[in-house]
Amino acid sequence: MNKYVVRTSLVWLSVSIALIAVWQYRSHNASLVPKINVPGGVQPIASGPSPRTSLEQPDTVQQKVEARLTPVQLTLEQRQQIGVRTGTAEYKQLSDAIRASGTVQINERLLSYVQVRFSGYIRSVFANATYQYVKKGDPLFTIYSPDLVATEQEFLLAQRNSKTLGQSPIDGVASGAATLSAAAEQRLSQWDVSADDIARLKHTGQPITDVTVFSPASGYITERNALPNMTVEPATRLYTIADLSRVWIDAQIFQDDISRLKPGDAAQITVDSYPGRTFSGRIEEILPQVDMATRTVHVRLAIGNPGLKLKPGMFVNVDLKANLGRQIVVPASAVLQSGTRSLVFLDQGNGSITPKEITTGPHVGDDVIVLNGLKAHQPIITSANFLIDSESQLQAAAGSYVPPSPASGGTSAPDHSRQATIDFTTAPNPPQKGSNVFRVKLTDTGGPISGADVTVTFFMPAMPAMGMAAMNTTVKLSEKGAGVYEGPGALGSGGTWRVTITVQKSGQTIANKQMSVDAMGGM
Amino acid sequence: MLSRIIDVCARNRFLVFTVVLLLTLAGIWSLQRVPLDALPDISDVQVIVHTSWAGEPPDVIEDQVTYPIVTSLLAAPHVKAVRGQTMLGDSYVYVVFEDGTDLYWARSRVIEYLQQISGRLPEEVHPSIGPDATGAGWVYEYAIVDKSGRHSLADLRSLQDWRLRYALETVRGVAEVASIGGYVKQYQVQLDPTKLLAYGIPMSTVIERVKMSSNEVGGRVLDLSGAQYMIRGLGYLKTPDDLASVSVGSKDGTPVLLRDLGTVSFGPDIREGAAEWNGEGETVGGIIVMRQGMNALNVIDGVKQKLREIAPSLPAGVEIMPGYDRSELIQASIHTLQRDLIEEAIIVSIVIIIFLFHFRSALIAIAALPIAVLVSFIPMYWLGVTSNIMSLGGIALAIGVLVDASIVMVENGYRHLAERQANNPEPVSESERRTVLIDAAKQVGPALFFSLLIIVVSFLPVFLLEAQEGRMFRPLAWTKTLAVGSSSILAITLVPVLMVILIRGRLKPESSNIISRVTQAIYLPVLRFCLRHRWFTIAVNVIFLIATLPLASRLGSQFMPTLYEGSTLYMPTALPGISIEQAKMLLQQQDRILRSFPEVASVFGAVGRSDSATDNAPLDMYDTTVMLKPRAQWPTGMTYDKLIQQMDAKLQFPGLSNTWTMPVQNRLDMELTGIKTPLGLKVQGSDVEGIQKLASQIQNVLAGMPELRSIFAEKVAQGFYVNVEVNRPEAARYGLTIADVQTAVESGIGGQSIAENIEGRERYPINVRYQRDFRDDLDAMGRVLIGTSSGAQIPLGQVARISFSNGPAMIRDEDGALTGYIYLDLANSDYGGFVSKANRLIREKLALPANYSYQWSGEYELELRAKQRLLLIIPIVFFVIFLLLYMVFHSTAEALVLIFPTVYAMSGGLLLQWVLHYNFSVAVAVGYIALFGIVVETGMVMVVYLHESLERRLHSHTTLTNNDIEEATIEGAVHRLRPKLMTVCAVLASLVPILWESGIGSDVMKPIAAPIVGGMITSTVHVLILVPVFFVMMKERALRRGTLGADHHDSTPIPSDSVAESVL
Repeated sequence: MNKYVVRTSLVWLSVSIALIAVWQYRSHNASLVPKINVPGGVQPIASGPSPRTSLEQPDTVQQKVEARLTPVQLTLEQRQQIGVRTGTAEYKQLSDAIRASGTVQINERLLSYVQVRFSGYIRSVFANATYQYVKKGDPLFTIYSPDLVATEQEFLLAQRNSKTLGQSPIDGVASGAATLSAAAEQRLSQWDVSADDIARLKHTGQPITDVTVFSPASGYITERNALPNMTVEPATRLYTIADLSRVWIDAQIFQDDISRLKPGDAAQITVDSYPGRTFSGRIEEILPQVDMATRTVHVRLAIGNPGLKLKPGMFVNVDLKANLGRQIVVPASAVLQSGTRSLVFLDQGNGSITPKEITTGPHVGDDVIVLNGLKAHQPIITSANFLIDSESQLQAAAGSYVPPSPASGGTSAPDHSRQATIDFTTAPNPPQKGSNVFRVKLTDTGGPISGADVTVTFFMPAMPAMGMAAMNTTVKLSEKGAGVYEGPGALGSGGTWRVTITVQKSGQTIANKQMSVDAMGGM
Repeated sequence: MLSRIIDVCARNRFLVFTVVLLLTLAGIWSLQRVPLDALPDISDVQVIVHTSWAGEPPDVIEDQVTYPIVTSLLAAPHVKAVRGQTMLGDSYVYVVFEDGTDLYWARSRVIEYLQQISGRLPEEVHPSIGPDATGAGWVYEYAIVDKSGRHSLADLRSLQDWRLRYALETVRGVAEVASIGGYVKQYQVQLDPTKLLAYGIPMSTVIERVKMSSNEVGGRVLDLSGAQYMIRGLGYLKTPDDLASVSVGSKDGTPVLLRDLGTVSFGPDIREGAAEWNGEGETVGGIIVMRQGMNALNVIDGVKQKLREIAPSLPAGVEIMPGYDRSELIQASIHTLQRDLIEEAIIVSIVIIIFLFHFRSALIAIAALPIAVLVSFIPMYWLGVTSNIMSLGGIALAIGVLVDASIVMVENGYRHLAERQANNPEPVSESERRTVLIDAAKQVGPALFFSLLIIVVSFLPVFLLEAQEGRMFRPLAWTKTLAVGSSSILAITLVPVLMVILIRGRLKPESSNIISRVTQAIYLPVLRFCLRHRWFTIAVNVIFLIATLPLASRLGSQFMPTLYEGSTLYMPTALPGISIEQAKMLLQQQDRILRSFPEVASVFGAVGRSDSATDNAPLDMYDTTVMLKPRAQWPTGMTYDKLIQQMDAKLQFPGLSNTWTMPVQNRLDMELTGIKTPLGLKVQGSDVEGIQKLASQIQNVLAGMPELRSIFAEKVAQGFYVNVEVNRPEAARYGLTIADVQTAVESGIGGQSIAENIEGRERYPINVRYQRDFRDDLDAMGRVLIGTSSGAQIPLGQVARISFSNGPAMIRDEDGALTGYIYLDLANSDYGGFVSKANRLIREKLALPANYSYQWSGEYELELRAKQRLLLIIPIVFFVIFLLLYMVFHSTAEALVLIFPTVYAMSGGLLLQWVLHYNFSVAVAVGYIALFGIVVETGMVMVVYLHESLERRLHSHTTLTNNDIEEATIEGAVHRLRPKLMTVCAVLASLVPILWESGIGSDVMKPIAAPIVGGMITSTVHVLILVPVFFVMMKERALRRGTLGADHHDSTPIPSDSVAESVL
């Protein structure tokens, strides 16, 4: 019986131990909450950090975080895969285009009115329709003017007098008659009677009752008031004749753009009605006032009008070329606007690409003006910039990249007195996730190299979308003799690692090598 | 009570058969209806609120949409977490509910809470809740390929959007059909600003006129000569020309038409993703998203059926190619497990036949096995457990155990009957035979029932696993429990009936069985030797134990073993800000390279996101599904790992980081916390720029810690922006408001979809914006015109400063706070220690600015949680086993003796696990838990027989000597070797097909099976050798103290009903 009691109590003991264990486990989590038991008064249940600490390093958070610029090394295959194309920065004669809309206007300088200088009555009208085209010298209409006829008769009388009195020996009579005749003739010509008419008058001796008025210019009659039997006073404007062989374009330019233009700048005019046709002209005048209604400045362009295609009132598109002079430009696709910076990528040759910050000016067509940061003829990458920039950032984030040693000097091939060959192996081969041994064999023309510092860096870029950080393992190898260096290292994951091997001797990098190595094992 | 059941059943054959038949039929019915899937759906109960706001940058949407939604949902009932993610044009809010919340209830709550804030959101924004599905529901993807070259991408997209989509959405179980790639057709009115200026027509007028240009109305009816005519006003646009002829004003009496101000044409909408087929060129893709909890296989079959139905009506030359098909995975994995199950059943049957060497007797166990499995499907169906690798795996693990009870009973009946025939040459009468058999069944039945109960009960703690791991293993626990449960019930009902029917005729005695003779011949001398050198034996065993246990520390650990899915997902990621053109170019390159591998069946590339709320991939994320050919068609020597490595080596694109994963795994991963490194830091604050700065400071502070292998602070503010900053005094000078300027930005540069034209079944937006030349660089943008009230039009550059800047590319919003992640990778696994050390370091070196905070997170949480759970579960398992054993034997010593084999089993499991390179994971832990139960069962069978034989001696002799005890032990151990070996062999043999298997799905099952196999081997050795040794030592001690007799009265011998009775 005793035994039974002992056993039962044992069982119950273990039950209670288990329960206590569970309770302990539960309360363990709760006990993580710090207990503050300060006597005296009500304590805040939560309080911020003391003011002192929050004042420390107030500016550290404010400093700008910018990605470092890291050179990128790409193989030829990689360059092809992402479609890298190269170009150069070049000097170009540039002009900036400003687009504006304009209207065709009659060139005021080629406008003429037809008026008569005497009053009278129009008899017949030859140019009898608005927008009729007249050539210079074409008859427009005939007019009967009593005043004119009187003057003509005066002139004829004076003519006769001068003829009869011309032989007069009396001094002054002949000349007086001639003067009278000349004065009458002058009056006629001042009244705009044509020389032909005067000659006819002289010839026939009969006054011309219907005087023909001729067109003073070639052009279109834009306004016609001359109607048969109309009384005409000298103030009456009978015709307006516009010469459209040259027209004005009134372009509306926003005030911000006006500073870039000056009279004489070339302009291209296109009209939707004539697709494919361009007219060219120049700025004649920038009108000295801003149109209050449209908030634009009117710019007057003078332009030839071959075939009279441009009709007054027509809307045209104006491309004004503001001359910018000779500038260094790169294709617009070569510039990566990474937020606050403009970057170009210099092609250093040998697959090495270096980012460079530049200052850009305005876009001109497909080009961008480089104000600062590039010299002419520098080779640059003109496509796939985004990917190269990303690669640069990924490598910078891990800090794994070892830039080519200064001795190798950019584009030129490394020129070491002792050309070292790096032979890299791993054990196991290929390496695996977990621990491995890395082995480097260094040789050059003079046999194995000893006494060098060999560093092997394994780098795998971050995969933010998959929630994986970049991994970076750096192993310093120790010398095993005969140019062989060895060291153990652990890889955090399977997959493709970028391996950089740097060989330094007395602080000088004598060789480095980059490659990709595939490690076995899961991610 | 159990004996009575056996008795009643054996005497009511008809009733038992009828019930069993009905249950079997019900089982078959359930089997056909249980939903099929590859893996259990482990996703949380979540509701996605998706808000689309075309063309708006992330920070605008975050401030005006995501933040109000997130904050309003925080306080909703049963909400565990609210995570927001905002990117260009889209806002996604994931509302995660507590486990066990009903999805539809949760959806109603979300709608309810959205209702409250609808007034606070911008007018044009309408949040909608996503489908009742998750990313894990992407079961089928297809590409629409045009071989004729006559259909544009816009045509294909229209075909997908307006025909295929709706046709496929009618398939039962499809929650949504999403489209990706191609161009969404839209009417594009491209205005020339200089003409607007020339005609003096502001953009707003154009927009207003266009808005009013496409509609149809009704005018009621007209009654005419007794007929009724319906009146309608026609006015939908028929061609872009109709739109071009819309009058937008007049100049001197002449109407100004839209065509005078620019061009009208069809064009593409802003693209959020692109799809590509086999490296052959761009295409349009469709994604079938399955409703949660549906039968994936049925859904896919339905979709395929529907596609076949649609096929004749497709435009000529258009083909629909399967880009991803999960049914292959499901079928392959189910097929693998079915084959395993059949192989197991066959192997187990062979084992039984060999051991019993009597076909009819073997038939009993063999017949009971499938019935037990089928019956277990009935509750599975009602519990909603799907048929997947895990649940079928549970059955596969149980098969060896399922036959145990029937084997032992049949063996016992066989032996009794054979003995009776051997002892008494007189032929056995029918009634006598029946009595002998029923008595034999009654003798072992209750104990067997009880031992199966131990297996069931000891496995129950698996149900204590929570969250993801719980959802993963609960189906396995269910099926295993149900199968063992149903087999234990069958053991006391059907098996006795079958015994009575089938065990008849002349039976050979056990001694004539060659297997028994050989095994006994080997076992006897070994056991004798061990009993003679007890301490030596114990020492050898202890040394073995000590030698193997340190293996535990040499094994790696992971959360879950990966499942090979027969397809791979190539997911390179670019840095944020990649343009669609660049992304597309790379996509085609990648696909072409992938397609060139002979192992690849098809490549369906996608970049960016589809129009599904379950898809939140930004444009910098690729998602290329590579369907692989069956492994048999691969070149020899090629493995999946090798293949991926070769692919990875060929796909080293600068600026991209490669990720290789598998479709199902990835979709599940994407839904979990987001931080995939074991450890992560979430930096939260009020400003993205500040978060990025703080995160990089933390990175600098922690970078020096020796435990840290790498640290990476996410660049949350690295997106590219063009800022249009209104110069307020300047704007005021022209009488312009901020809104005027911004409308110009929105409609002039961005383009506004202002109306929708209806064309039969299809609907296309009408978009108005400036011609490309007038908005494609900063200078041009400066010339976007803004109409003033005076009629003048002012260029944007005159009233605003336009500049490049950085800003958030994507915004994370967790529980209302802006968040940035820092990913950490540790060299060791002491997360707790690292976290406290890092916390100290951050506190010392860094003053957190006000409003900023950080917290630790990561998948280690899951692993840690699972580990802590297991630390709780394993002791419970042991305690439960101990308790059950104590109840059986009423002796702590004997209970302890039987617990000991489990430790021994652990060493064997470790050994095999180490040999096969399986890491520790929850799966392995589940394997161990299953192992313990089985080990205890075998130990119990052994002790039962030892007791039985000792009992017999106690009855025959009044005083026992040490020698008697030893002899009794040898008799119990050696003579009753057959049933013990049979049960062990059945378990071991049944698991061999799983370990042998290389088909799809085996990757998950192997780590579970490995510890069982390893453990069974070592524990059997232990049970066969050490248990008799301990038994002898214990009984001799009892004899010395003179308590043997009393002891035996107290601890009732097992093969009687009373124990089970007292327990039940």
